[in-house]
Amino acid sequence: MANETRTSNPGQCIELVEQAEAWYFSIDSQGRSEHHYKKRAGFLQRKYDHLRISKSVELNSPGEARGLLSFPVGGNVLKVHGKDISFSPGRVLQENQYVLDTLEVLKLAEWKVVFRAQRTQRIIFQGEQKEKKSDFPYYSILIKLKIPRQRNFFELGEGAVHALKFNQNGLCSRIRKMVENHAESGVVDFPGAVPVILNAGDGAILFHEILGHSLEADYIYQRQSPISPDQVGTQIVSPTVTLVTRDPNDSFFKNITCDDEGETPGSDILVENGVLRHLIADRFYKQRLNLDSAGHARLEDFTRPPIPRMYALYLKPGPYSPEELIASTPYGVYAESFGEGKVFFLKNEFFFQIREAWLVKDGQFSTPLGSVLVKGNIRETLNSVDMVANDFRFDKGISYCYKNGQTINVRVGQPTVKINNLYISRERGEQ
Amino acid sequence: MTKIYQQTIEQGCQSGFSAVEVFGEDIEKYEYLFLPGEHTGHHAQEIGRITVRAFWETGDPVGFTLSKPDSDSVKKAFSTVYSSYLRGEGENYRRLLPSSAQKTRVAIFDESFREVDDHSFQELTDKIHEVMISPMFQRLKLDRIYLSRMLKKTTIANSNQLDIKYKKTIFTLQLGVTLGENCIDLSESRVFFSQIEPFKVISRAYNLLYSLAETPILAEPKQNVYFILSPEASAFILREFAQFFYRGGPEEVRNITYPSMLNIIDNPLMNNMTGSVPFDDEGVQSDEKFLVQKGVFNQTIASIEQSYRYGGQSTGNGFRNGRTPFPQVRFSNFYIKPTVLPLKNLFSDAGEGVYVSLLRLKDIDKDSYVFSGYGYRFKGNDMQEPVHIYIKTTFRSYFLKILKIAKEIKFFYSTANFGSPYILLEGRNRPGSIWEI
Repeated sequence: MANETRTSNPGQCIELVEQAEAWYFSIDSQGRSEHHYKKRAGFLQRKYDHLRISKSVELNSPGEARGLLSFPVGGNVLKVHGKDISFSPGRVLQENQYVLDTLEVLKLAEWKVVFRAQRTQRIIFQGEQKEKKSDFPYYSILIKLKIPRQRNFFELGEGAVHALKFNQNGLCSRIRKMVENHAESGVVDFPGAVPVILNAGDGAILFHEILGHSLEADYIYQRQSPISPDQVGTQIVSPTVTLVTRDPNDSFFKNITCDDEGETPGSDILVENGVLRHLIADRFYKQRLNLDSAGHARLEDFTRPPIPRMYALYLKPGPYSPEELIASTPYGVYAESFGEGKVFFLKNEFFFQIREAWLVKDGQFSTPLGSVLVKGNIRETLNSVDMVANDFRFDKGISYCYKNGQTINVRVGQPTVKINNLYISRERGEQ
Repeated sequence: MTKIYQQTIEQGCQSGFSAVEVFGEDIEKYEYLFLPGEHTGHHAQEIGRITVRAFWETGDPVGFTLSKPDSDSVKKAFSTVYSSYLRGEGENYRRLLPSSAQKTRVAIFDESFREVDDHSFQELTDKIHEVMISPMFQRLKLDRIYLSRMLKKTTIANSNQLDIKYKKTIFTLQLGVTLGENCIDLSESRVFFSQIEPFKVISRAYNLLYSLAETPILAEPKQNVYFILSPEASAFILREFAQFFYRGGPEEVRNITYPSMLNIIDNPLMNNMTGSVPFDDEGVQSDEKFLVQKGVFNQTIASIEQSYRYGGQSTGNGFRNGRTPFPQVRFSNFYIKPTVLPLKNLFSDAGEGVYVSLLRLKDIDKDSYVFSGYGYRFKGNDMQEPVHIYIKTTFRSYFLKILKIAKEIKFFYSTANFGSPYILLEGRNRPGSIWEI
């Protein structure tokens, strides 16, 4: 294997060495626990000639990659740095007892709480003397609960990059609100399109789904996206929309200073006042589409080659207060928390689940609606972003994205936003 | 026993654990991606890891997964899970780990695995292009071809002296095709490379996409209607209902008098099937199991943990899925047994009705499942215009409404393999556009 992977032209390939460590601990309403530790290391080499050959090899430790790299590296280069994650189920349970007590009190049909602590460290080589490092620690709590007389589990949680510490008051209040919302939910018919108000923070997952993915260079090159490269510099969405990929106040991806090909994007701005400025590309599609920069190549782990993906996506705040958005809505829906979404580019359609919705009537909150499905036409929706508020927030830290078999952490953020012309039903999504 | 497995078990016992199970996987995978008019991509993977489940005298087990471990890393991992362990006081199921397994022959390894190379994949790609240019498929657009070959070597050893292994090959063809504004990704996995039949995959894609192309929702005042479900549509429903057959699942599975011609089976020992294994990921062997036999409920499936929790024995259905460290319940080859009736008899018995080629889950509301179905009207043996319907059913109602089962069977979905013959059912319409089975 070592000889096979050597190349005479290191500039035409990237090589990546990874070490990932993860803790998993769960406890459920019947007292069952699962406790598991995972440590993996591996090497990926990817070539950028016309054949695009890539290879990945699992290793005992990052140091074993020495024999696989195309060039010699110095003593400490293959050492991953940073302090180890410490994890003790006993301490975790003790520290989060308030959440567990709250779940007990609510008399749910079933519940399960999952704690995760993980750290993924990567060294990316673009050739000799050109190694770059990235480090992504991640901690999360995920609560799955089943309300009596409901068949489905509902999920909520929180993620952080500093430590296994969460806002327990906030979590417990969200748990209670979700249970109340579903227990008291009424069935309301929405015969036509209505405005939907997306809450600040997690609501930006809609922009991730319908606009972010539309800007990914592989979808554009394969002509699946409704966006084409010649639209750069033109108005593609409502002028109320400015989308960026970096926020100096967000520490979520702070130690990821380059993408998984060792590149950084040329600009943080994707869309400015509705005008398309940049696309989301990796090295391969940057070259194919003749773009000015890459910097958005991501992989789930070393076993998969990188593809164009988003890290973070933030919608910039607008001039209104969130109350003004509610007050301006005669009949619509307020979306509090979100589930899965899917985009069908060819049909120009998308859907996503709202896990906790409220009816807004005559400018005020009315009946709780439980879970509903929002559907819309991609182009029409992008041009129907009506009002953007001034209360910008980041998501709760548990946004994930699935593409081509790879699931990765993503980050979104936005203020409260009102979008007109969306369709509401009580279904699950289908093509 | 391979040295590292033996060392792992010994170190686990020395660390104070009462029982240790080691599950090892060595995977060699080669993927080939072809995007028409563009470029190709090749990706090779060499994966090797072990997953350990360790039991104390009492309480739930703990576990770890390591890449290509050596003795040192195993030792460290035991000490890591030991030092952070929160021990429970309840009894556990360590005594149920198997201690031996008989040699079982099941054809799941293609000896020619290493001979399947770029050239073989290129030939298959050429064959697909040849099929695509035939007048029959002219309106279809090929978006992508994905081919892969995988060799998986699995070892299971435990402190009860179990030491077993097997190897399995899987070849996958996945096609992304478009017709008008509808696109579909269809995938077929086979144990032997020679079993991959591109013509069948393309025909299946065409039939499905054509039924999606023009889809008025069928809503008419007629009271009763006959449905013939394609194997794909029926297998989809079977997959949705699979959890009813898990031990500890809903009771209604036991309380139904199923149609007498209905046999529902799980069989891990079927030759040439992607769902087949000589034993499950806990080392438990099993063979053909009738879950429903001649219309009578017979048994549910379980892993070791579920058998401990709900009684009975493991049925050899504990499998790891890569993301979860401990085995979960899963089927191997789960299917409705075919009868001797040819498909044409189902059409002639029905006279007229709706042939459903594709189903998607639209909603679950309490006990009711709503499926979105695409297909065609039929009269006698003639297929007529495409239709789109919504079908609402429950687990109980669906099985009670089965009238006939055909002899032609197909399997879908790879590692948990779901299969069904064509099925004739009777349904009726309700106000609006939802039909009921």
